[in-house]
Amino acid sequence: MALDAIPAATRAGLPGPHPGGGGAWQAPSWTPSLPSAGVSSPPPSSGRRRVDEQVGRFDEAATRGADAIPAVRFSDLSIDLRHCILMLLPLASDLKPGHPSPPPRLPQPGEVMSSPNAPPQMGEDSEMSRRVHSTSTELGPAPALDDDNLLAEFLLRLPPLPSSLPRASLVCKRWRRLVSEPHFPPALPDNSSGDITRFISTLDSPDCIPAANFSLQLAEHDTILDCRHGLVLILNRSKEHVHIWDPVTRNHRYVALSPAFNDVRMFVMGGIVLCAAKDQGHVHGACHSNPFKVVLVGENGVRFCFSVYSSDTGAWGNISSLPWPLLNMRAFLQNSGILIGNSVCWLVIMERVKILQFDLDEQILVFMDIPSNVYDLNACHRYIPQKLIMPVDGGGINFIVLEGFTVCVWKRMSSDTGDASWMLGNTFELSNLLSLRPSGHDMPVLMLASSEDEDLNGTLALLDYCVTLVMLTVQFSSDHPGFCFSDVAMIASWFVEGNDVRSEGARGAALRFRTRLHSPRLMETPAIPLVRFSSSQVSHRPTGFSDQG
Amino acid sequence: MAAPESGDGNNGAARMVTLISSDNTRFEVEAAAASLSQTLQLTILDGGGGGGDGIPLPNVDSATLSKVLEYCIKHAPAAANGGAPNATAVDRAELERFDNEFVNIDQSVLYSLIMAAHNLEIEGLQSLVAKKVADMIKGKSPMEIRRTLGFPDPTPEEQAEMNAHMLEYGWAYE
Repeated sequence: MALDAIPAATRAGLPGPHPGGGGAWQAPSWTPSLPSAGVSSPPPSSGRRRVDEQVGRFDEAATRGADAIPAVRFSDLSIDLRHCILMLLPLASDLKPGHPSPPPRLPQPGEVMSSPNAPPQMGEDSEMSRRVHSTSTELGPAPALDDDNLLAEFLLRLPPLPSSLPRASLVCKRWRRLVSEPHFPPALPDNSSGDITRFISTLDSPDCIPAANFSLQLAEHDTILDCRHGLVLILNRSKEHVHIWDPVTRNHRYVALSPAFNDVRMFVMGGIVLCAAKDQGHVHGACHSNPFKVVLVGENGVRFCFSVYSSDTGAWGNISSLPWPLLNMRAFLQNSGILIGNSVCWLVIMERVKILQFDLDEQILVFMDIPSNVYDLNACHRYIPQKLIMPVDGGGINFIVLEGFTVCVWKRMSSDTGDASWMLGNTFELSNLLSLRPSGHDMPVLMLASSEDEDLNGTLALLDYCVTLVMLTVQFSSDHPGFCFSDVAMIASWFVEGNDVRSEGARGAALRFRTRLHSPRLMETPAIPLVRFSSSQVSHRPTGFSDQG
Repeated sequence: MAAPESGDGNNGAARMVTLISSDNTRFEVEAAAASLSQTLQLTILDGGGGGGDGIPLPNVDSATLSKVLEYCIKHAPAAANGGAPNATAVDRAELERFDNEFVNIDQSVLYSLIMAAHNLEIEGLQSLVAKKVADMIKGKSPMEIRRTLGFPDPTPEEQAEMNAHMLEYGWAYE
């Protein structure tokens, strides 16, 4: 019965796609009030101050709390790990059903309100109050709030925002006990160890989960290979496995390397992880319970080898390989893979640069030439050219070259005969767009990454020498090539690989970002000084993000 | 209470049943509407509640029961359609609008409804009122939640406990 009534009511009970309230996302204040302050910044007092300011009456206790959070000793970490950061993004769109926790387990229509306890029968006068499991001092003001089962129903219907259940847990002891029961989503990340801070929530307070709650202690020989669709891929050669970590649910999966990749001669060059959900309408972001795939690429001096692991089958597929192009020649991948349509593409640096493309469906591996006249090692350049591949709508690919302040965009054009060639598309002068000062530097602007997400299609992450991270969106579709800057704050997640982007020897540092916009991008904002650090701080700042003061 | 011989009421005019609230007010409603209550459903299927009998509901006062029945009557036709695969968008929108207005009520009435919906096991209504409570507390700080729901001010012990807990989840409190 009542079947018909349920969908409407249940629908009303489900969170909307944007529970965070749509357009309020510009400029989250994560920079100054970096939640990791108590963990990552050198002066321990910053954590204290933060809590004090925000918590008012709880200041005394909060101070003790800041002290209680173990300080991260970045000096203990190896250099390359020290500077890794991943910004996590429970984006509103991601939140559709999920927040940083598994999809909300709202009761299904058929089980709404059905409790494990026998429902009260008619005539059982005041049975309800006797079923209350709570201590008498914690009763709410109304019988309806005194029943644990009923209260659980209320709390399970809270928007799946990171702050919902923690806040409820602070109301009183009974609520706290209830919320910590297993059928609630793990919305209360424990504060256990502040080992390494690598994740920063970009949500506004109060949904900004502290970075300390997203920490992972990397083991020796752990290397972070990739981050995509809410998963982090970590390789450990000595343990012969890859480790797939979901920072939000804190699930860990360990997958032994396939025998071919276990060979000592095999050098694992890179890998990607991706959500393998095939559901219609699936929006990547809250992919926690979905199947995933891992692609590893390696070389053994004879061949390039690829292998795909599917969590569906729990096994690695066959090895796909290509002959090694040049004996005795090393090669490395410039970036971690970029997903373009159903292919993963890497820029491979060998005696010359090529694009390595692996078709995930067909498991076919091909090399693709880059535009022939853009990269000449022997040419004399005032600036060091930087290059990047970028996905474009419809599965196409662009090749971006940044030399000094000039961005050239090459488009790959397919002819009817199936041949493809590169054509110079647009050229942008960054110095006209950004308030950039010429410097003697041979890379005055770093090109960090290109966006893979449809939402930010055609967006580059650039870092200028004033260390302002800007997003340049290059629009190709119109006759008049336009550009706009997107607010970096809208970025769902990003992942800094390699060393500090501005320290010596970090020229090849890459910043990778996964994006999901909360709201239409901001079009007019010029260089947004959201991400700043002074050069003097660079050497000890693990993330490059600091208070602006 | 059950009177199996009284027939299944399947004879033309909609079968009516009588519900008796805790304050002895009698409500006559269609069996289909009352059957939205899982608790009442079996009794009604057994033929109870008809004629002069009436089904006593000692947990539900008349004000609350009339509110509950308002909901049941509105939702009964859709429920009778068996999940209403052919319900039109207009129908659904109308029900949604009705639901939204339905829970736009005093907190005390809401609490009574919650208990009644729970006792009578009216799934749609349970869902609806639970969502309403969730809406009342969402986005609020713990103290605001306490105030909204009429909790007394925390005792010093509770306050100390909250403070201790703040250490862990203070970030969510901001």
